[in-house]
Amino acid sequence: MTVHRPRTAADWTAEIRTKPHDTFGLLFEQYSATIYNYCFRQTASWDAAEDLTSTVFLEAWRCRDRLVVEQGSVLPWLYGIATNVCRRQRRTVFRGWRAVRRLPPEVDQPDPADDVAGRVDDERRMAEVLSVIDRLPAGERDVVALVVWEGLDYQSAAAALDIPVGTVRSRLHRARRRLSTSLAAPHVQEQR
Amino acid sequence: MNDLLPPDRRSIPKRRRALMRERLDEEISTTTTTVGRRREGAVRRFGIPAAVAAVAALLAIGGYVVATDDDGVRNDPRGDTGMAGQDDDRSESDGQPKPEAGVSEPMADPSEPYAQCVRMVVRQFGWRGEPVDQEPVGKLAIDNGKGIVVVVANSTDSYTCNLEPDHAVSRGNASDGEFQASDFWFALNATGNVLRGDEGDMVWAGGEAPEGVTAIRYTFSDGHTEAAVVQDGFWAVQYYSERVIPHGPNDHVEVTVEGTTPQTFELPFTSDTECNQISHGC
Repeated sequence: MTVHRPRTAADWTAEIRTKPHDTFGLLFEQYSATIYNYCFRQTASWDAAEDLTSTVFLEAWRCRDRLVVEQGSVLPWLYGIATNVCRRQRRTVFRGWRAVRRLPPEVDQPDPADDVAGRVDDERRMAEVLSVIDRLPAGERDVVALVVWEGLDYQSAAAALDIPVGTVRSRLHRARRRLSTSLAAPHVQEQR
Repeated sequence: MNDLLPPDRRSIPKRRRALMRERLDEEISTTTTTVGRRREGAVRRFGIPAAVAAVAALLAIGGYVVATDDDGVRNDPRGDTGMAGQDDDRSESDGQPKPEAGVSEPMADPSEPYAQCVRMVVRQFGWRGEPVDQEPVGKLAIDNGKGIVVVVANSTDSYTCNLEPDHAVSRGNASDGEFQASDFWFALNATGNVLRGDEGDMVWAGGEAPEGVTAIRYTFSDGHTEAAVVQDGFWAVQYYSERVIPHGPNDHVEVTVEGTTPQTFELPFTSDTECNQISHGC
């Protein structure tokens, strides 16, 4: 009888050691789009999100020996890396993703995802949202992004940010209170 | 605005996605190859069991032991892979003079760093639509225990690569006989453990030096002065700080050139000018 169990951090680490390209390739295939959208929501720029997504997976590779599995998933760990990468993007610039940014423009077949007008609209809207969210302290902003926008439960958000679950709860509560004083707060489901 | 919810999700454009994957694969290949070679080299040279070599390395690099986090995780900008082999290489037991932690010295065997840098130059400038017609050759490779900076050049251009902790290339014009301020623009990388958000800063630069230049020194906005390595008409510098190096509208970096024509240059050090500083004129 085969017993299926979630892969542990040790499983991942062992697989990465023996088959690094396959294993990290799998991580990239599974989660790059999720991280891409998360990075967009941090920056209001699709171009920056591309660069940052690339950086997140490069950083994940460099930190692979400290991989964390939360509830059977490595996604919270990737969110944690993405949160820090986006945060420090404001302070400095990573050459690795700058190189990607400077790649020649696409000249092959138009990509349906590359809807220029739609992307511009997205960026304008996201910038408006961020102009409000940015008034929050960084810790509260991170919690709003992970729980409200990305749909993480409190435990996963806590793992991503390396803080206690209670802190996630209290930060979210404070964030909602602050936001509700001036604007309609986002719809947040209570405990997931 | 009725809500604070973001726009709908989008997929990554296919070509960009493929390039990201390619970049990741390249990083994985480079890291695993480099670590393997370093470890092989260490074993060959020491001729002693790896465990003994590791202990010797730890004793030899007290600076790294000091730079350990509260929970024992080393503040290693290269992650856990690149340094392992290099620590071995830095053991006292190989009888070679070792760079003091944080001090840049020319690498004893720069052949692989040269080859890596040339590959990066050809690839990255090819991507940008600026093919490198004449393959550059290695000129200078320095290592300070936190980073590796390599200068390669052909007859028209010099290129400076940061192999560790990042993989980045900048291009500078070949020396036309005198320095200009832009020759000293530098790259700033955030380094450190991104999971903990406790990054430091790594600054690096390099290029071709006019004849008669004997020394180049960078004094950063935190007061630290770092001497560049000048060798056979080329120079390279790198400075690692565990703290963020102040950079803002009032922060500057002073570069002093010694030799037949002493000069001093004051460079801006702000986030706004970072792009120019990084790329030697992107």
